[in-house]
Amino acid sequence: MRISLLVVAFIALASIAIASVGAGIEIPRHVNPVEVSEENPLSQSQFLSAFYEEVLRLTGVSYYSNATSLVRNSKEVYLPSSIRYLIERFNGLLMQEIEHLNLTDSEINITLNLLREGNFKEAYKYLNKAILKLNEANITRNELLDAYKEIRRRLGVNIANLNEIDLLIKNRSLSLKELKGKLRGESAVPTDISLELPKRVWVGSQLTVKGVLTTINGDPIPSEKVIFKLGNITKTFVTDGNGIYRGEIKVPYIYRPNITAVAEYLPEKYLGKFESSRVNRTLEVLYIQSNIYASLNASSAVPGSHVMIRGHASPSGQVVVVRAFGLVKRIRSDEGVFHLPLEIPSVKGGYYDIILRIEPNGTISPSERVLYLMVYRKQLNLSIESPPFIIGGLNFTVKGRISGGNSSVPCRVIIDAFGEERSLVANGSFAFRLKSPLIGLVGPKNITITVEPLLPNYEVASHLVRTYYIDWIGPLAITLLVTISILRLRRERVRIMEPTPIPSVPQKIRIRRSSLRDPFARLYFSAVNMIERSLGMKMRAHYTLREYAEKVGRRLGNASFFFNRLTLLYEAYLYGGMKSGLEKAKGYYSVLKKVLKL
Amino acid sequence: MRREISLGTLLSLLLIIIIFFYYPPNDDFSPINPSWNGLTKFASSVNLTPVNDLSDLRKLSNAENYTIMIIGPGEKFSSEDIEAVRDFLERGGLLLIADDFGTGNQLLSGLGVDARFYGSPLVDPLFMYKNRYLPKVFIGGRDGAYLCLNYGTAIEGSSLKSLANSSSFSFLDLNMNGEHDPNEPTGPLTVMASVTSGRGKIIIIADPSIAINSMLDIGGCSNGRFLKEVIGGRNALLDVSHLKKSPYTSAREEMFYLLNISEVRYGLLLVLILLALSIIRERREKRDPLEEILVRHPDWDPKILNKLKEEIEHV
Repeated sequence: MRISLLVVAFIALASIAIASVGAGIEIPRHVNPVEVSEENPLSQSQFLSAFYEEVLRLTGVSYYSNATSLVRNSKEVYLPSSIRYLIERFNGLLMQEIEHLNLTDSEINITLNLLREGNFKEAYKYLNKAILKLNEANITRNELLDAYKEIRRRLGVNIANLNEIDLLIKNRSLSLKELKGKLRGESAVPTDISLELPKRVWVGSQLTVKGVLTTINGDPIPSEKVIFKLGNITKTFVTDGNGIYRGEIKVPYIYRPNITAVAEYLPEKYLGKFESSRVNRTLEVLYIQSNIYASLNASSAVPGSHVMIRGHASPSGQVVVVRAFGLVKRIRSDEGVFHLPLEIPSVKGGYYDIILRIEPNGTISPSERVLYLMVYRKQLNLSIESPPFIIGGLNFTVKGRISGGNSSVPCRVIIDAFGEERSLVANGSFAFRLKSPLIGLVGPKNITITVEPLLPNYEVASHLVRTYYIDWIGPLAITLLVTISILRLRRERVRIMEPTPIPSVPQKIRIRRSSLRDPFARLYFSAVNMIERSLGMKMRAHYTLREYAEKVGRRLGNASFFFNRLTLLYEAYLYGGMKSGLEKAKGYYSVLKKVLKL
Repeated sequence: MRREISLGTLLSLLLIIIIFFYYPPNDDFSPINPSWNGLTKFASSVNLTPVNDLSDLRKLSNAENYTIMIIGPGEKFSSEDIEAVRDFLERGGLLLIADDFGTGNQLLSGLGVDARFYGSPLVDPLFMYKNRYLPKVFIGGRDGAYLCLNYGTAIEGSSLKSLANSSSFSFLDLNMNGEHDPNEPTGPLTVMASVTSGRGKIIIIADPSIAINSMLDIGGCSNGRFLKEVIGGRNALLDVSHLKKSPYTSAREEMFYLLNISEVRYGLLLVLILLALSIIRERREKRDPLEEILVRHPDWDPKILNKLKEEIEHV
């Protein structure tokens, strides 16, 4: 048993050694993030400096949203928690500063727009708001500088363009001063703009635009821009010395009843001197309305059949584009009437759109009509017969019948059983003769039968059959094993109960062979071992020396003589203390050994 | 002696089978490896089906409903494998290939895709998790999601649609010294890209480690969620035939393969039963010989027999 344990231990150790061998690749494909060492924050200083320089560069060119999102991303910059608060504080102040500057710019822009419109009162209000925001930016700047000193000291961060903020504040301050000067004591003169246009226009035609820009007192405003919009088209005209502007614009192909034209004046050169003005007109748009009427000769159809599209299109001679089942067909409607036969392709059942359309063409407007067609497939009736049990290695048959209503339908039948796929073409009935695998896992198995009709107007049918597979080798082996075991046990019991003759001397004590020190005993049991190995007849515990000699005597043949002698000598030694027979016994043993080896 | 060695070997075999059952492999990217470098979490979250042979992709009738994921390939792709993937893509399938220093380039080249993994580690000293070799990559989204890489690389190619780039502070560490040297390419570098192939699509990710158990939800990154979104409603397949296997895994697979053969299974069962019977018999034989004699000769005096036994044993 000790040797068994040693073998177990050796194999277990070898297995563990094998298990611990990994696939070796030079560059590690990954490391365990739990065990990975933390980065030294000082090694990041130059990268952090570059990062903040980029933020300030964006702020300097007024890309506030980009700068803000960059600062927001900085939460993903990895820093040990002991110094992370420093960067977070700095980032918070930087965000605040960017926001103040952004708001200052917004208020300045609103003030400028209001100034253009001549709304001085509102412009003042926004100017004050801008001043307030700039003051807040100035206060935050001081806090930001303090926070910067701290991150420079602890992390070695050196932001070269931090003075960008000072420059921005200075520039905004100057802009605000200038605006304040413009607003002080000035008032804008209201303006008037006129627009001359025809009431009706054809789509695609060239339209002449004309108008006059004057003050409310009728004084012409020369060399100013007038913005003219027609639908989505915008053009800019410039007034002449008499305040007159004129130009041409093409009416877009919009095929709508109306279109709005707008002329607008926004002061640029005379900002703060004149107010803005605006005029708009609604024009009637002229075009030829096309129409399309169509119908199908059937509301439903099966794949492979034809349906007829009949219709009328106006104005006559137009090309009708038909889109159905992923195909496009064009047909000319001579004298306004068109016919188009349409073959239903092999598609799944359901509703399908058939779209008929007249494309826009110059003054002719587009039109469209949608027809609906239901495509259906007939159902196949499928009945399957299969055995409830399948024994491994034996043939079995799966039979079935297919019908489509009252008629038989030619179909391709595919069967998938035990991982094998087979198919045949059947018309009405079919039968597959299959062989189950010899071995496999015992249990329920699925057999799938798919029927693909060769006619397009039938639906594909599928059927799942459940059967039970029995692998006969396993159960047979176990049954055999149990039977043999039972028989063997019974034989043992019968042997024990056999009556045996009572020997004259109680010589039935078994000696432990492993603990033999006595040379006579060792010699005798070496002979016994040799016989056991040679004949396979074990010396059972209850045998006497003579009993065993008798048992093996018949099978030993001539050699039995030597073994009997050896047995008697050992008996004499064991019970009579006759040691002198040892040399003789050795002689018998060597002869026995030679005979058995032969 | 011989008998005891046989018994020991048989017991060892049994022990090895038990170890194989209860001790999973520790291979990188193995879908049955539950430790930090395995894919068990990801596999269970998207219901991954392992594919042992890429030729099986040909059997899929609706390729457009499937995503084949090739994560961290370490073995070469045969021409049959490449053709099977090409056919899968032609039929509208989605291929997700995530690699860094493996054999992914061979597949991309075989598919005729103008994209390659650089093969040098990507380093970001600023946007990272704990260490510069674990860079963070912005992948967008409303809530600003990030991917955490672990010894990833970058992708180069001309006809790619870049889906995610590393930060402008990142670089490729060609000489593995952890510092940026003048000749090393700097960010932003493409770490995720897509390219169309046939009716299908290929998504290329420059780090397979984003899917390992320890990286799925680390450092506020959305690796797991991102991979799920890439797969969408498709059925997820994982190629396990090109993973680098340790000798233990190979032995384990061979053992399971053998145990799946009925003859072997039943043969082993038979041997075990025989062994059990033999042990039972041996134990019976080892019963006290006095008992055996007394069963046969109940009229004999047990005391005398015992004395005789003692005397013989003292010889």
